[in-house]
Amino acid sequence: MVSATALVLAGCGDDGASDDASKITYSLPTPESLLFYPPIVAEELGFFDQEGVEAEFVTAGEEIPSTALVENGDVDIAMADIDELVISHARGGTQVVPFSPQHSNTAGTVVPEDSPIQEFSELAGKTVGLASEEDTAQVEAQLLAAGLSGDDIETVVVGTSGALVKETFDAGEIDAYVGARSDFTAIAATGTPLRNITPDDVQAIDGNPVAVMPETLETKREALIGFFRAWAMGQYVGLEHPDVVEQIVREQVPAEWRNEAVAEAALAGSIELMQPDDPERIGDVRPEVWETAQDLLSSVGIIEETTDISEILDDSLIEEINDFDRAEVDEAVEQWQEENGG
Amino acid sequence: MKEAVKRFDGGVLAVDHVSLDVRPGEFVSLIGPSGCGKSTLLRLMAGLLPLTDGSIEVNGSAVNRARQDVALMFQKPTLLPWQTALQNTMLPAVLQKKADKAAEEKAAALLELVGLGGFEHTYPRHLSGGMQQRVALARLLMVGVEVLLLDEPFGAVDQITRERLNLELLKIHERTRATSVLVTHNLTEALLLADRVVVMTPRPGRVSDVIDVPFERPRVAEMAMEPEFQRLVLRAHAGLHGPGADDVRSQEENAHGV
Amino acid sequence: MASKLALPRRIHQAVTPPLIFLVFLVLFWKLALWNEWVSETVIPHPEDVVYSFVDLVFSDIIWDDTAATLWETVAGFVLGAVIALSLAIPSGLWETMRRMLHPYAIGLQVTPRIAVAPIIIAWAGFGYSSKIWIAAIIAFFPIYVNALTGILTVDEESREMFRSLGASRWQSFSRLVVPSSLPIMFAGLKTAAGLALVGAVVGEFISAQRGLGVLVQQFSYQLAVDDAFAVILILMFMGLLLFALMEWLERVTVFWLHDARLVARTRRRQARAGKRAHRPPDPPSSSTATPSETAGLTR
Repeated sequence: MVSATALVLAGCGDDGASDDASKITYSLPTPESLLFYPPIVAEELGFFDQEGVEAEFVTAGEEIPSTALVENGDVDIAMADIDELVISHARGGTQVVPFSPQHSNTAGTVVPEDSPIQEFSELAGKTVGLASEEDTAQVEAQLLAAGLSGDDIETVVVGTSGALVKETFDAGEIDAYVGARSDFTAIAATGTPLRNITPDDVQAIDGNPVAVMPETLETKREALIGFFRAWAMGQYVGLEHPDVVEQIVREQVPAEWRNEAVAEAALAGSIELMQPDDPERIGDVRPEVWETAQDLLSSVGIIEETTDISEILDDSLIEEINDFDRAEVDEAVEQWQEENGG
Repeated sequence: MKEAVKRFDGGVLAVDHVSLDVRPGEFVSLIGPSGCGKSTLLRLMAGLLPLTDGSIEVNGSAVNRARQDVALMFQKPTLLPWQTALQNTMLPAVLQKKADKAAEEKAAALLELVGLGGFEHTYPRHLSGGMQQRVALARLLMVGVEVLLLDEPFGAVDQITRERLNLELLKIHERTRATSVLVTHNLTEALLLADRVVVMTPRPGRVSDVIDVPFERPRVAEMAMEPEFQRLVLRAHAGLHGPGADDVRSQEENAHGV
Repeated sequence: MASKLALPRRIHQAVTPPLIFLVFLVLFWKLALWNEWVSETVIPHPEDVVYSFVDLVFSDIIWDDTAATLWETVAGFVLGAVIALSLAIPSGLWETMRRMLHPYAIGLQVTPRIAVAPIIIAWAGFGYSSKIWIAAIIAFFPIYVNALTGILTVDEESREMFRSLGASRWQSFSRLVVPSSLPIMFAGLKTAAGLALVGAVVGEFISAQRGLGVLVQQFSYQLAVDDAFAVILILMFMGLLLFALMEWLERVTVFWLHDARLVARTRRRQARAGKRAHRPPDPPSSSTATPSETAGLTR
C-alpha cells in the first residue's frame, strides 16, 4: 500500500488514458496472455473495429495496484481485485465496476489428486503452502468459510514458482497449496494432478472485476460499452468455439505454447473461469456474491471497514453490452476459420 | 633577480626569514636534509604557494602566482602518459596556443639536444625514468625561460644516469645562461653544478651557510676529484649537520692525510 | 600490425580457458541431476537447455523480445551515464556541489528497486521509458562514483605542472583532468553496462509487455524450465557482449594503458613522419648535393 500512496503522489498520468473519446486504454495484470483471451480474440476477429473502439493494452504487473492506476488516469479501465476495490472505497475511492468477466475465483486451494483430503475442512492439522505472506489472509477467509480457524493449520510460504511448488508437493512437504489457478494448471499439466478443494463460497467470488472511474464512465460511456461488448463477444467465442480461440492465441502468443499440455490446460481453465452465470449476461456484476466476499474478507481482517456494495457495482451497462447478435459472431468465426484454414 | 624571503606557514614554520639574492645567469644549489623547507622555498619562488610574510621578486616583479618566465621541474617527470615525447615537449606551446610547425621543430630539436633523438613518437610508458626526466627537461626548455627551478629532478634515477643528466644540465646552463635554482640532497651534484651553494638547516628552515664555488666554467666531471672540491664538500657537510668547527678541521686533516 | 597477427591467438587465449571450465561446470550440473541433489523440475538438464536455446534462436519467438531488452539496456546505460557524469563532473570540480549531491547519489543507490519501480512506472508510463529509467538508475552509481574518484585523484604534481605552465582552468580540465580520470571512469562504465541489463530485466519483471524478462516469466509459468534457462543463457550472452564492447571501447580510448596499442601508435606516427622526411628537404645553403646523396652522407 506504500506503492499506492506513492502512485497517488506521483500521479501525473500524462501518458496512458487519452481524451480521445473512442480510445480505451486498459490494463491487465499480465502481458498479452491466453489467460485473458477475449481481447486477443476480439482484436483478431475485428470486434473492436466493429464497435468503433481503439483498444490500447498495457501491462500493470502485480505490484501496482490497479485502483490507483484508474484513479490517476494512467489507464481508462483496469482489472482489479474485490478486496482492492472494497479497501479503496472504504478510504474514499470512487471506482465503479460495470463489468466482471470472471464469475469464479482465480485463487484457490488445491491438493494432489491422490491425496485423501476431499474437502477444505479436512485440512485441520495439516501443512498448507502459501504463494506469499499476503495469502495468509486468503487462507483464513477460506478457513472461515469452511468453519475452521487459523490455528487449525500450519502455513509455510513456498512462493509462486510452479516448479518449486510441484517439488514441494512431490516431496510431501506440504499437504495443500493456496495460490493462483494459473499456477495450478501448470503443476497439474506437468505430472502432478491436483484437486481443487476451495470452499464454494470463496470459489464463487469474481476473479478480476474491471474497475473504472465514474467520470470516465460518463465521458466515454459509448466507447466503454463498445469495448466491453467486443470483449463479451470474444468471451462468447470462447464458450462456443474454444478450438478457434486456441488457434488464435497460438498464433498471437506463441511463447505460451512451449509446453503444450500446460497451455491447453491453462486455456481450458481460463475459458471455464469466464463461464458466465447467465449466458445472456456476460460480465454481469452480482451483488450477492460481492456481499459474501466482503463479509468473508472483513471477518478475517483483510478489510477493516465495510462499504456499501451497491456503490461499487453498476450493472446499467450489462444489457447493452450483451446486446449483440450471437449468430453474427458465429458467422464471423466461421469466416475467419475459412480464411485461416481452421 | 632579487629575492627577500620570509615565510611563516600556518602552524608549521617551514621557512624562517630566509633571504637570498640570485644574480642573473647564476646557478644556485639549495641543499639541506629533509624537512628543511627547500622544496617549500622553491614552490614559493615558483608562485605555487602563497607567502605568509616577506616578499619574493623575479625579474623585478613580485611573485604571487605561476608565471611564464619561470620554469619548474619536479622529481617526478609528470609527463602525460597519453602523449608522445614530442607532444609532451610541446605542451607549453600548446597551452600558450602557439603550437605551430615552428614549435614542433623546436621541440624535436630539444629532444635531440637531451639525447632523445629518434624517440619523438615514443610514449612515456616505454621510456625509462631517466629518459622521462630528459623529456621533462626538454619541455622545460620549450618556453624561453629566464628562470629555472629544479626540485630534485634526478632523485629517482640511478647514479650513472644521474651523472649523465647533470652534465646535460651543465650544458644547458652554459647555452641558455638561465638563472637556475637547484634543490638537491647530493652534495657533489650541488657543488659541481652551482656557482653558489646555499646550505639550509631544518625546523625551522634557515640558511646556515653560503658557499662560493670558484671553479671555472665550463665544468667537467673530473673537477669533483680535486682536493679543493673535496674541501668544499666537507664544508657543506658541516653546514648540514650544524656548527662544529672541530669536526670541520678534523675532517680537513683527514682529507689531507688521504 | 603486430596486433592483427595476434588476433586469432588472442581469441584462443580468451575463449579456451572458460570453455574448459564450462566442461567441468556441465559435468557437475549433470552429476547434481543424476544424484538428485536438485530436481529436474527446478533445474533442467544441460542438453535440454541447449536444445531449447537452438530451437528458440531459430524460431521467431525471441527476437522481438531480445531487441526490446537490448534497447532498454543500451538506452538506460546511456541515460544513466549522462546523468552520472553531469553530477560527477561538477561534484569533482566544486566542493560545495559534491557536498550537496553526494548524499542523494548514495540514497538513490541504496533504495530498493522494487520500491522505486512502481513510482517510476507511474511516472514514465507503461512503454519502454519506465524500463529505461530503471536501468538508468541501477547503472548510475558505479559511473558516478568512478568518475568522481577519477577527477578527485588527479596527480597533484601534474596539476602543479599545468599551473606552472600557465594553463587556464579549462585547459587543465580538458587536457589533464579528463584524460587522467578516463581509466577509472571506464572501470565504472564496464560495471554499469552489466547492471543496466539487470535493471532492464528487473523493470520487465515488474511490468512489461515485451522483453526477455517477460519471456522468462512466461516460460517459468508454464514450467518450461529448459526454455526459461535458455532465455537466461541469451541474457548472459547479451551481458558478455556488452561487457566486451565496453572493453574494446576502453582499449581504444584509454590506449595508454595497453602496450600493444602504444606500439602501434608509435609506429604509425613514425611512418607518417618518415613519409614527410622523404620529401626533398630545403636545399642546404652550402651544398648542391641531391637529397638522396645527402641522405646517404648523413647515414
